[in-house]
Amino acid sequence: MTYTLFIAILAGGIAAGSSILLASLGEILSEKVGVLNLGLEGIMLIGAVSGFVFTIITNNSWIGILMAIVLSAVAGLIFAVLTISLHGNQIVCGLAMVIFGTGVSTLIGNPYVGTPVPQSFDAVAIPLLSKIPVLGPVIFNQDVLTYIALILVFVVWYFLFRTKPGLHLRSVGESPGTADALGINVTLTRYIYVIIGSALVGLGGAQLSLAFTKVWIENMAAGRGWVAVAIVVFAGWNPQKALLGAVLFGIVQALGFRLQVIGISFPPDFINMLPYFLPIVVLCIEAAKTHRKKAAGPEALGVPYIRESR
Amino acid sequence: MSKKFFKGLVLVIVLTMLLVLAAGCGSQETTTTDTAATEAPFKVAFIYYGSIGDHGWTYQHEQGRIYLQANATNVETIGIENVAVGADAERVMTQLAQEGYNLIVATSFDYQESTLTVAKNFPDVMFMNSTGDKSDTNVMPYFGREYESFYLDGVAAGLKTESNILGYIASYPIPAVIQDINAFAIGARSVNPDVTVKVVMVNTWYDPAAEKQAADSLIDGGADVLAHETDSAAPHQAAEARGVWSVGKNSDMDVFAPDAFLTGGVWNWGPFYADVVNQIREGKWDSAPYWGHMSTGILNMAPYGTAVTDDMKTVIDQTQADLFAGNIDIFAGPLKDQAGTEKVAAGSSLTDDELRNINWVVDNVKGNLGN
Repeated sequence: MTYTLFIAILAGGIAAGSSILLASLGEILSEKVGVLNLGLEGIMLIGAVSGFVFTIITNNSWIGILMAIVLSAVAGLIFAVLTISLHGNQIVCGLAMVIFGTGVSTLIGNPYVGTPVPQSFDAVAIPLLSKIPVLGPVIFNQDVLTYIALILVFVVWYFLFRTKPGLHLRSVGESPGTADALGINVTLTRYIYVIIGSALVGLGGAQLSLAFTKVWIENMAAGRGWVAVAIVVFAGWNPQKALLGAVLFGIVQALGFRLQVIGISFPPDFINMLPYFLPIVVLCIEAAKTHRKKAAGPEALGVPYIRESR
Repeated sequence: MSKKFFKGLVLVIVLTMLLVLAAGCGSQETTTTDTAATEAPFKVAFIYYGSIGDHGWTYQHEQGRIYLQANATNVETIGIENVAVGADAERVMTQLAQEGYNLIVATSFDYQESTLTVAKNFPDVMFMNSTGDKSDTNVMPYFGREYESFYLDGVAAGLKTESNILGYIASYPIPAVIQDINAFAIGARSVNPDVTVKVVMVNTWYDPAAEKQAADSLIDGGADVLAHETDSAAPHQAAEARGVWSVGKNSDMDVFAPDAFLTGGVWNWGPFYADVVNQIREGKWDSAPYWGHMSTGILNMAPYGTAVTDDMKTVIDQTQADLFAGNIDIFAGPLKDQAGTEKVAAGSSLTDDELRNINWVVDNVKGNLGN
C-alpha cells in the first residue's frame, strides 16, 4: 500500500467519521445525564436539512450551522418535554423522534433535494501543522466541522470528568434521587444536557450535508444515527473511545471502497459489512477490558425521575 | 388521578401530532385541463418512490407527467410522491383505482408485486410499472434501453480519459446494472482500446456519503472519468472537486459539476406517456413489456459539458447516429468475461432475454461484483 493511498484512507476515514463522532458525543451527554435518546437518526436529519436549507436561503454556511444547532436543540427540547417532564417512555419517544425527524426533514428539504449549496465547508489545511508527516495530512487537513468535532472530544471528556458541573451531570445520571437530595435540580440538569446533546447530534447532521457530501437528499443519514447510538454503548460512554469507534467506522468504509478499486477479490458485500462489524468488535474488546474495573453505563439511564415516587 | 391522567393525555396528543406530521410528508399535485367538459377526462395517476425534487429518477417522471398534462387533450393527472413500497403502495393504488383513475403508473421496480396484486382487483384500470418485468392483461412493464446511453457515455469517457482508467460507481449486481457497466466498458473500448473500467459496488441506490467515498476511492485509484449507477449527484461533485470528469444518468447533472460533467442519459418519458394514453383511448393498447430504444426519444443525451471538445462531439454524435440507424450492435461478439471465457462468439450477439439475465462483465472491467 503506497503512502498516498494510506494517507487518503486515514484522512477520508476521519472526514467520514466526524458526523458520527459529533452524534456520539451528543448522545454521551444525554445518556450520562440519564436520558436514553434513540432519536439520533431523526435529529441528525433535522440538523442536516436545516443547515443545508438555511445555507441556501442566507448564502452563509455559518448561519446554516447556527440554525442546524438551534433547530436540533428544539428537537431535543421536544424530546426532553416528552421524556423528562411527562415521564414518557424514553425508547418509544426516541423512536417517535426518528420517525418525526425523518418526516419533517423530508418535508422541509423537499424543494431543496439536489440543489447545489452556494457555500460549504471544504478542507482547510492548518499552516505548519499540516506539514507534519502522516499526522499533518490526516488530521490537519480537514473541514472546520471535523476540527470542531475533534476538539469537542477533549472538551466533553474534560467537562464530564474534571469539572463540577460535569460531576453534577454524572450524578444525575447515576442516582437522581441522591443528586436531588444534594440540591441539584435534576429536571433542569437533564433538560440542559439533552438539549445540548441534541444540538451536537444536529451539528453532526450538518457536517454530513454541508461539509462531507454537500448535498441534501432525504434520509441521507442512512443509518449513521444508529451507528452512533451503538458506538456510545460499546465505547462505554467515553468520548475518546467514541472517537476511536467513529473514526474506525469511517476508515474501514473508506478502506473498503479502496480495496475494491485495488481489485482485492473479496465479495464487496463482505467489505461493505466491515464498517458496521469492526468498530463493534474493537469496542467490545475495549469494553471487556474496562468492565473488570467498573460498570460502564449510568445507573439511572432510561429511568424517568419522579420525585414523589422515590 | 387527574395529574397523571392529564400528563398521559398530553403525551399521547403530542406523540400523535409528531406522527401525523411525519406521515404528512407525502404531498400531492393535481392539475386538470378543462377542455371538452362533456366527456369525462382520462385520469392518470403517477406514483413516485422518491421526491420530485430528487433531480433524478422521480424528477424525470414528473417531467413526463407535466408533458402529458400539457400535450394530451382532456386528461387529468396526479403525481404522488414518497409512496413507501409494500402495503402503502397497495393502499394508494387501490384508492386511486376506486377514485376512477383510468391509468396508474407505478414508477419503480419495487412496486411490481403491489401493482400486480391491485391490478387483479381492478381489471378495468390500466397499470404501468417502470423497470418491471412481469406483465398482465392490464399491467404493462416499461423501460428504455438505458445501456445505450451508457455506451455513449463510454465513448465520451474513453475519448476524454488521460489515465485510461475509468471509474464506475455501481449500486447492485443486478442485470439492469450489469448491462450498463458492460455497455459503458464496450463503448469506451470502441474508441480507446487501452481503457479499463474499475467498478466499486456501493450496495445502495442513494447514499451521497458512500457515493462520495466511492468516487474518491476511484479517483485515488487513478480513474479520471467517473460514471455512476447510483442516484445522487455526489460522484459529479467529487469529480468536480478533484479536477477529473464525470458522465451521468437520469437527468442533466451539469449544474452540479460545470467543469467535470461531460454528458449522460436524460429520461424523456413525456411523449411515451402521451402515446400510451392515445393507444388506450383508441383501444390499441398492448400490455406486453416495452423496452424502448434511445432512437424513440425515450432517452436523450444531456447537452455536452464544457470539457467536451469539438473533436469529441463529432465522434459521439456520429456514434449516436450509427446507433440510432441500427449500424451498431453493442453486444456483438466476440466478447469475453473477466476470466477470459468467451461469452459471445464472433458473429453473434446477445438476445433481449440474455440481456435481461446477464450476470457477467466484459474483460476490461476490473473489480469484483459480488454476484
